[in-house]
Amino acid sequence: MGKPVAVVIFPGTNCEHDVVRALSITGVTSKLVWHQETDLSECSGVVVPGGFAHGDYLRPGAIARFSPIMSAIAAMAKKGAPVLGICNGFQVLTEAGLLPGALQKNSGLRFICKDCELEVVSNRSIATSVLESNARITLPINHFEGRYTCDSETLAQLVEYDQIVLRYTDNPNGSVEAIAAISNRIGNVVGMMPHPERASEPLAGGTDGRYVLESLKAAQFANW
Amino acid sequence: MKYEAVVEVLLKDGVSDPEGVAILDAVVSLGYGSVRKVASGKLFRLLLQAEDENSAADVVSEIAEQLLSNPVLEDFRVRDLLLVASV
Repeated sequence: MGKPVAVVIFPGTNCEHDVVRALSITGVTSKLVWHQETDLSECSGVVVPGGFAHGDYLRPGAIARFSPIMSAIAAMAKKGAPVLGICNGFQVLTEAGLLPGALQKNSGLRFICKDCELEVVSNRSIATSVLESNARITLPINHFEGRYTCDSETLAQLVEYDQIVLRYTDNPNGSVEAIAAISNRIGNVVGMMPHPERASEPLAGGTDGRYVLESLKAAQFANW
Repeated sequence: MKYEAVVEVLLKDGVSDPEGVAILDAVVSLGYGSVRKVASGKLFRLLLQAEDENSAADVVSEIAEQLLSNPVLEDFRVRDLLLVASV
């Protein structure tokens, strides 16, 4: 076993234990890291889990961006370590400028909590490397502000650099191009609105999340 | 000098605003069919100490740009920069 994956906790994060458990089932050791920490050099990757970091005050992720841990996460991203933001974690990574675009309120102004079918657009990322492109998986979403938005120039770049990772097949929240997950250009930083950790064992209603976690595991061991 | 600044944050033109649309629907069902558009946004009031009006405006703009607005989606405007105490 290598170094653990850091699972970051902000005040208001609430999916960290689910992520730790799902990683553990996948055979990945992890450790919880408080947002005031400044050093992740003993970690092999980072997961920013879901919840309501800093109460989602101002905008989701807007305050979290100024937490001390963010520079350490940016340093990990720069080194090529896998960084996965899930739901609120995705919002945090966009606010921090580690991923392009933004997440807005769902187009129907509804909180949506349901299983969604997703199409793998790129399998180049640390979240989808064990999947085939065009494969379909089902993961739950659970958000009010998950409508991915970006300007047309950014969208063109996402397409050009193969940064669209997952797409909803029915686009429940009105995201641009039905985008559910994107990566940075290299593919080591991924943000996704669906929750792989909530679909990692049959009792929880599905196991497709394991593909995402297995991909993260492969990235973790390949790089370190 | 003590200044009070009011910062307005609104979605950029062309960014969809489902909240504004929902409010518009309510305005119309209230009987005000003449209203064509509602834009939703945020307003912040800051009290700050600064040397003069220009430096107060600079500081407030920096804060609005870095924190109060998300440049991907929103524009901000500093309005009503008022001198509230000459100390």
